Amino acid sequence: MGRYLTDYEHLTGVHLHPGELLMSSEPLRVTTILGSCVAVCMFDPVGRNGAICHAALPNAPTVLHKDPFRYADEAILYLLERYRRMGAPTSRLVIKLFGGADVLGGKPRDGYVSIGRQNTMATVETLGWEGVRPTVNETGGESGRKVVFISHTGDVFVKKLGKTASRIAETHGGS
Amino acid sequence: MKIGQLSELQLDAIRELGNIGAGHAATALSQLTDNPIGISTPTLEIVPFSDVPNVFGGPERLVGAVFVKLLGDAHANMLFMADRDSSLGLVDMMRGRPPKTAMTFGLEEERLLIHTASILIAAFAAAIGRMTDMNVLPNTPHFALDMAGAVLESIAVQMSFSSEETIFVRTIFSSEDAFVDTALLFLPDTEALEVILGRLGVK
Repeated sequence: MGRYLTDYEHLTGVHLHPGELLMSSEPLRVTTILGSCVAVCMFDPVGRNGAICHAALPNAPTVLHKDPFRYADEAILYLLERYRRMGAPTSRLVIKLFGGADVLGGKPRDGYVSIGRQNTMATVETLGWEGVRPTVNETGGESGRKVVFISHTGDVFVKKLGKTASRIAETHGGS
Repeated sequence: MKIGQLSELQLDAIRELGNIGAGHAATALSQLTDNPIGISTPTLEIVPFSDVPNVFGGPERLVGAVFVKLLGDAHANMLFMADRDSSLGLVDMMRGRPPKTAMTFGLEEERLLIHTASILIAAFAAAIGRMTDMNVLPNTPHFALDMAGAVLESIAVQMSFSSEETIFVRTIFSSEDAFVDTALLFLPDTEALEVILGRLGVK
């Protein structure tokens, strides 16, 4: 298992867009950029295959709709079902959750819940229905995240940017 | 009507709104800074949402962004974007300082960028209002200094993915010693686009 992202630079890179998901036992370096969206990374340590979804909205409408993986609840339920069919119970999965930020800095108001927060709540709730708690919940805040998921080890690397110069210097290395 | 279905004539009509808005914004900024600040005739193109981060050098590229909702008779969103260095260049221009004086983003730089972008957006909104005889009011601006991909994704989500394309207005600010390349994304909802085009006589 690699400790640094550079340990995985040789792997094939894939960019995951909003509304997409990926499941693979092949070694892949999956990158996705998150604002208010959430990414759920799943890994089966026995089968050694990983999955990731990039959901943009919290709950799917009850009417017929396109792009089911755009919704956190449907994308998560789909992936958990796929794992079950492969003989991997949800209790065995290592699940990590990222994103759900308020990038455009909307101030909290009475009765208003930002889309980022709604996405996080829907994700945690859906996982809760399935009896799963994420081992990592790196969500919220006002900064976007770059998430790199390694499909055959379940490793996840996160780069987060802040608004102030000092935080950018710390996390972005001036690149 | 969707943005991707706009004809060349309809794009011309929107381009004219951009020209008028840019002219008024340049006058306002010159008066504000007491220095001549020019804004080029904006170039306008239709760019898919997913391609916009690439215009700024990729989804991980750091950009300054100011997002404003337009309220009133036509509901639309406007997003000002410039890469980090251009954003700082615009701050220097507004302060009347030589290029590359501002090196980092602090609260003052953030406020100045919001103010400048708000003037540009308000001028564009006023041009829409005047040309279409509608009330168009800019709401509170929201600022982000973040990855282009994260900003665009958040905007697309806020708009519930109602449009796959953006009206991308490239705007170049100029002073005596500097040019700054910025972009203004005009994102009307489907109904607003039809109303605006109807009022402009190019529906």
